[in-house]
Amino acid sequence: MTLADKTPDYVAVTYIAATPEAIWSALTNPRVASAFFGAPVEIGTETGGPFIVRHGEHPLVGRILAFEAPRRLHVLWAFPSDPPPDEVEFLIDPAGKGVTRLMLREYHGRAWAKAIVESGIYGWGVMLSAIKTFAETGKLLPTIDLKGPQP
Amino acid sequence: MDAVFKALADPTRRELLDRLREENGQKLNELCQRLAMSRQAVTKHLAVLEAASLVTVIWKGREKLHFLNPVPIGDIYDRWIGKYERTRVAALADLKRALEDKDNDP
Repeated sequence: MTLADKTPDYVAVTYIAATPEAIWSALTNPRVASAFFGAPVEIGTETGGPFIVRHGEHPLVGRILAFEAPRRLHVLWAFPSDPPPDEVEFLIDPAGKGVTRLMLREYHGRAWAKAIVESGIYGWGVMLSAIKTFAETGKLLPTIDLKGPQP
Repeated sequence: MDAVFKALADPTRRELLDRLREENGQKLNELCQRLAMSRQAVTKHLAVLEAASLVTVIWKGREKLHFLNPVPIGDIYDRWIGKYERTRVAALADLKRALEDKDNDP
């Protein structure tokens, strides 16, 4: 399945000084994701596999819609307590000179309120940073407060 | 980071980013509306924003859709605003917003 015809609602791009393979292994490494989410994470290794984050009473119980190492990971981003799900796609492309582009595309399953989209944007920024740090240095970015700037 | 600051140092380019924040994924034609300049000039501004990675383009058939990429501005924020300062910065920003809203009330 390709999402070429679908228009994302949100896009974020970061450039990483690492190979696509290194970025792919950071992206699909449950340890990296666990440190980012601050909760146990389960990531499958094939299409149809799980993408689960067990945080509290409202776990993310997602499913991998495409597992195409090292270029594309497409995930059904589902909270069973709060349907309908969104979809998230990670695209990895060489950008030359040993630099690789990591693009995140978010396809909303509903019209989210602006405030929710903006808090999500903050979270994605941290997640991309965690992947970048791990791919470039092999170090885990410590878990930080994901709620973002608080009043 | 130089490219980001150069790209941001222009009111038209900031206006383009504001519009994408309002509505992501716009085409060139949509972005040209209500801007008092030629299509070529807007294209040039968008190219500067793209080069700084502030705008990301996705091709839809033969048309380009423009998306605001928040990552470079996030990097600036992370560089100069520490984790523990964020709460205070946000509190001041909220206070400012609340006071200004009050002034604007009829």
